[in-house]
Amino acid sequence: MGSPCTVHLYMDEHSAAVAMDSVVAEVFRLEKKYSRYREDSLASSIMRAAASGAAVELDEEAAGLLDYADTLYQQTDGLFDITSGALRRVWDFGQSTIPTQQAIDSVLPTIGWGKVDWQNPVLRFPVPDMEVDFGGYVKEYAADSAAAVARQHGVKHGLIELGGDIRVVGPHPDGSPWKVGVRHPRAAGSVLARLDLKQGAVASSGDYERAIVLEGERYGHILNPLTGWPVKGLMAVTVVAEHCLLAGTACTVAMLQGEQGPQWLQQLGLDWMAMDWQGQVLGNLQSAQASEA
Amino acid sequence: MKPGTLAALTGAALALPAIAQLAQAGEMPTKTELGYRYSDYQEDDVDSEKVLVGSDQRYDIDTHQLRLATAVGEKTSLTVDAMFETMTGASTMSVVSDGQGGAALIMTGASIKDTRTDVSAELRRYDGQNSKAVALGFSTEDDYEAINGSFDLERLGADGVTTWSGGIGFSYDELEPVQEEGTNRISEEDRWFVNGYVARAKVHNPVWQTQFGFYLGWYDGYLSDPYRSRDIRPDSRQQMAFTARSRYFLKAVKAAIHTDYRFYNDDWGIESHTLELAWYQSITDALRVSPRVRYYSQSQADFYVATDSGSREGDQSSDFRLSPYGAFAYGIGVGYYQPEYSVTFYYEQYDSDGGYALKSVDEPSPFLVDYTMMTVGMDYRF
Repeated sequence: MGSPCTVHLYMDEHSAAVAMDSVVAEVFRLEKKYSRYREDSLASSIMRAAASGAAVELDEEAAGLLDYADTLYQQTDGLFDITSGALRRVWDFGQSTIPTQQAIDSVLPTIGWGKVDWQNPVLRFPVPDMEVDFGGYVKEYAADSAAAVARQHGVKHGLIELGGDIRVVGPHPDGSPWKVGVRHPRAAGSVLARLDLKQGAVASSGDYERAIVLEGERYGHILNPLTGWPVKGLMAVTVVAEHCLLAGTACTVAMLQGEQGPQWLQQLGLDWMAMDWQGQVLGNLQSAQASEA
Repeated sequence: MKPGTLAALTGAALALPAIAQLAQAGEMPTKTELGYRYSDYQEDDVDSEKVLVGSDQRYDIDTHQLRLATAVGEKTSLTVDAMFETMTGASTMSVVSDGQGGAALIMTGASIKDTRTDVSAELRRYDGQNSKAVALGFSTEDDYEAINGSFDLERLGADGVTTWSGGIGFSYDELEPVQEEGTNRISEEDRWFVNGYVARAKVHNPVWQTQFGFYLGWYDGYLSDPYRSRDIRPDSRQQMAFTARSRYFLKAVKAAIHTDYRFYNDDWGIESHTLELAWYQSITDALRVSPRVRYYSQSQADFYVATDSGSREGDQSSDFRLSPYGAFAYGIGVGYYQPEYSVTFYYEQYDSDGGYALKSVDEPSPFLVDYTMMTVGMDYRF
């Protein structure tokens, strides 16, 4: 998943190894299937189909992920868009330069989930050079899926963390909650809040992950698919939900919403917290204990 | 924000195989659970002016229940239930005319004391989210013995959020009424009962679940009350019931609304409706309070009679349970839940009346039952 992953499972000795291997194997399965950096992945075959204008038929899981992305696209009026990966052709967060408006304008026509022909389970790309990228939410789904595998092996108590996104399998065996720290977006190593989590999931997103800082201006890695420019308004968002997929994508959408993000989260109805660009901490997680997702 | 965004996203997430699997509840127990329940059920006394002969005290029933649920092997669970019940009070022998256009009761003496012991065991085999179970049970009273068994299946549907279940069951009962001088009771009779059901449960989203069920039952054999002086009922009975349940969680206030409805119909002419509403409120992580209210209404059996008559021919019974009536039950439950143990308490007040029935009732039994019931329970997991 391109980031540190941790799995904690409480089990008796003889079944622990099998359960742990299966959980880790599930994460690798999803990594292999949805990574755009692997030639043999489903994601790569979709990109090849996109380049040639061919249709590709997807399995139930991949189709379910596209349906989820489709729902998010519709619900956010196009802000969450899994075709926005084409912007990576002009934005390189490993460099300290930003692209020109002309360069951004050159890729914007290849972006827009609405331009894709998605008739579950068949995906077609009428517009050339488009991309579909599962990277924006497959890590969160992987946390849920790994938790499901753990449950299949009888695990009742455990926690799965994939790159900071957490799915709880169940509380500690004595019933006590997991203590989860929320990273401070501007003070590396320090904690903005501590949450108690007995079940469900917590995910975070922020401009601290990858960014270009140029002439005092910070350009975060979360790009608005409608403008092609990094979003501004929030430094970081954390959401607690029943499922990690929901928590993670809610964070991303809130970041994409910028200054309207807190209002969107408030109306969504999940427990959340955010830090805006003035350093103000917002959300109901400050007061509410996230013991129940 | 578009209205219903969370519901739309949750619905889309639940269509994913892994998330649908996590949303399902039915799991094999991994700990051993030992439970005990004590119930005290007390029927209100009959108006003593209406009792011509015998006691005005109706039933008091004390019930002790024990349950042991444990895993036996990796994929099988065993549940053993045992119940011991003590019943005291008087029962109705006959409803007669009081000579003034009303009815009066002939009751047994108050010294009746009966005990009932019931033991059953269920073996359930789990296969992922699916399971199947066989159960066998035995029940004995001073004048009654019964064996029963059942088989049921539970299957998770292809969509991952719908669970289908179904089962069949049987019971064979033998009655040997206690004989008393001056009565002409049967010496020995028996009856069979077979039943089947199918149910469909669906998780619509993380805060809403529903279940719909359909049930059929057939009795065959002696179905009358041997202690009533004039009680002649058909020797078969076919029953049908439809149930609908909803569980809706109000996350913002940490509560759940339970709504249950049941429609029942049989070939004795009884049709009934039951509606129960319950509010389960979490006070803390461990403490839950649940006020409940239940409404019941039934039409009468075709052969129900308000008063007994020795000269009447054909099927007939003055049993209040076959009379038309309605009832309200008000209850409150309190539960304290910890990972290793839980303590529960429930109190219910039941009030029945001909005037509560959905349709107007010409002649309800004047001897409908009102009762109070209290249950305390403890469960220990290890």
